[in-house]
Amino acid sequence: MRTVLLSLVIAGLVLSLTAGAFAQAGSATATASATADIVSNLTIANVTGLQFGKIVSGATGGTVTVSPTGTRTSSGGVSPVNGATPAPSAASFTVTGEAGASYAITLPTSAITLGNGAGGSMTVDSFSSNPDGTGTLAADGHQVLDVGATLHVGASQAAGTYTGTFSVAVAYN
Amino acid sequence: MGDSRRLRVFRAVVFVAGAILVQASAQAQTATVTASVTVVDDTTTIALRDLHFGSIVPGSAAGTVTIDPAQTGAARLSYSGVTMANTSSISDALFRVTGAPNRYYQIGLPASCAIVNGSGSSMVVDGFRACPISMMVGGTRVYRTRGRFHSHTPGGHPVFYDEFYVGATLHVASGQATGPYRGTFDVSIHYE
Repeated sequence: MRTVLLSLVIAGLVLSLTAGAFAQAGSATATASATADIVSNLTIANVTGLQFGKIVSGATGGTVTVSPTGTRTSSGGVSPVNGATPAPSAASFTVTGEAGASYAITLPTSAITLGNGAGGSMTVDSFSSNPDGTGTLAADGHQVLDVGATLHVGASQAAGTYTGTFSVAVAYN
Repeated sequence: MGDSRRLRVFRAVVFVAGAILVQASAQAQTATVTASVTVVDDTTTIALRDLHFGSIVPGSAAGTVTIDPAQTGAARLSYSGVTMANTSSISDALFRVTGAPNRYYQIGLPASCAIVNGSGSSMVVDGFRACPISMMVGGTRVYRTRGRFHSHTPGGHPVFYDEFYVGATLHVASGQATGPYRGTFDVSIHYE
């Protein structure tokens, strides 16, 4: 009995002292969160190359343009061969990074050269893309980036397969 | 006789202990709610907004991201050694302190805190700074650790509070593990 009562008294005193300490301090605390997302760098991977398809050169030069949607048009003395293999197609890239992030797209600003390995060459310029200029990654952190360009074909361009490379750069905005 | 006297003493002790407990209980309640019931009628401190450093790509060397509470909008953000992947989510923290009319209070900022991701990686946040609205100079925020409760009249009824912005600096290691990082920090308020 006495032990119990003594405990009560001590408990009361402790509570009283604790409460008094809080009241005298005259202070309060508030808590907020601090957050940050660390994300992997923006990457771009080539899925398919830019394919101008099969064409026949003529007595005069001309151009063949493949749009970012893959549509092929031509001008001058060049005749595209429709239905032939390989079919024309835009270059396709996959851009990967932070979901919802905006990024800048940099296409080649000067012409690149395609060669046939036997001294023949053609140039490609007027690159365009979809999205154009600025892309936005989807909720899964990906976006498809399609690139087209214009091929300049010389008069009586030598037959053969011409290849070359170009680079597309992306950077977070 | 002796037993009866002893019993009376016991009763007295029980009474005193009970009284202390009731009083202590009442004081403890007011202390946790207001911390100063004898001086101020209504004092609360709440975080209205958290501190967000945005989405960050670590660099090849250590870098920092700083949220400046004295700035607004995009100017709040500065960084070095890292690339920002998404800045649309950045924000400074915002606290509201309620207190007695025209009284002053002091802000205690943490020296640092850690934020962690789900897989045990951490980053340090330090360099905390505060800008109370009550201490703005000509509409410009300034760094202060003291503020004053002033009148606001939402719905026509005057209430007295102040708000202060808090910013800090995040330290990002090269190759910092990816993921969402979160941590908490405390600010203490001392009512003058």
